[in-house]
Amino acid sequence: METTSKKIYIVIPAYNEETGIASVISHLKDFGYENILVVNDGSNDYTEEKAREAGAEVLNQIINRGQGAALRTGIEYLREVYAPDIIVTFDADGQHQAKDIAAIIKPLIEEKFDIVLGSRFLNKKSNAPLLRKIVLKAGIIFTNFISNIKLTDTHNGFRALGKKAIQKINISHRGMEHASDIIDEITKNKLRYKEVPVEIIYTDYSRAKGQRTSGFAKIGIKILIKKLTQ
Amino acid sequence: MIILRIATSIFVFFAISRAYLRFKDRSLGATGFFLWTSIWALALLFIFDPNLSSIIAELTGLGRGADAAFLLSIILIFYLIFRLYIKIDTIDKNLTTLVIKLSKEQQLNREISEKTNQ
Repeated sequence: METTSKKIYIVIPAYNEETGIASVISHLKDFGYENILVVNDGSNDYTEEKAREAGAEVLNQIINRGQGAALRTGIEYLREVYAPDIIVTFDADGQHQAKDIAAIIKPLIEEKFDIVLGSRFLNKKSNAPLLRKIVLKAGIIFTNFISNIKLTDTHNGFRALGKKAIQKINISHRGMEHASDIIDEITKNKLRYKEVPVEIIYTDYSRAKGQRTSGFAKIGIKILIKKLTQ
Repeated sequence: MIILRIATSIFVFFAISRAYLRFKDRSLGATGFFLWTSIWALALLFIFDPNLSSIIAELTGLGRGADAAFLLSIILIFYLIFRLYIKIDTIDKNLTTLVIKLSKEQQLNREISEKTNQ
């Protein structure tokens, strides 16, 4: 980890991740990231115990409310208790690589941007399956159109929030649609944003745990309803 | 026809009485009570005077009275589904806020008790 005086926190939403959560936490610690907050989203396995044993602080949501709600819990808690300079949102299924954090937080350390978004399409390293790639690209076109923004990857959970973004961003969707909320908040609050390439590693485990490709249509409908009822 | 009218009237009075009970225990507002009573009263009118729907159909240019009643029912159903959606969404959001608040408080209490025990 690059030496900096900035207070950096990693927030990991986790739902039934007892198999992989400890290795994700130790992977982060190997790279020097010690401030790790796991938001246990109503898991009915040993996610909480495994995360605590691995050395993370754990917040428990008594019932499963979705990734958006877990991130909101984590960000609000960190903001109120630790007043961090940077919050990195990181997946619990091992898709994200701790080695990429340095690149994602660099523009925030230099205070040139307010939020940095990871993009799996800025380089060719990510091994996304073809169908997932097609659906993601369609999602990108849809979100860019709806949110009036130009991004290469709109549903990537790997991102870093600087101080202004931590204060301003309000996640209203409790599920996977929160990614669109964050993008909307960028335009609404005129946050300075940047995309950096990150590597997403798809494994059988992460594919089984992660968002189903068919679920993207549901996300699109929910975003449209939100726009219509706002 | 008479049996249908009697059955519908019983149902309508039952529905209005339910709305009144909900209004009485304040789970339904005055506007909501007025709206529901009007809807059921209108249904009763249509049943007892089918010509009324023909008058509406003629006024709106919809042809047959049955068409007008059918269209009005569809509009009403869509409106009710929309209202239900908004209501469920609000409850869902409130539930999420509650869960978030609880989880933060639980962790803060945990930290306090850990510090006290040290």
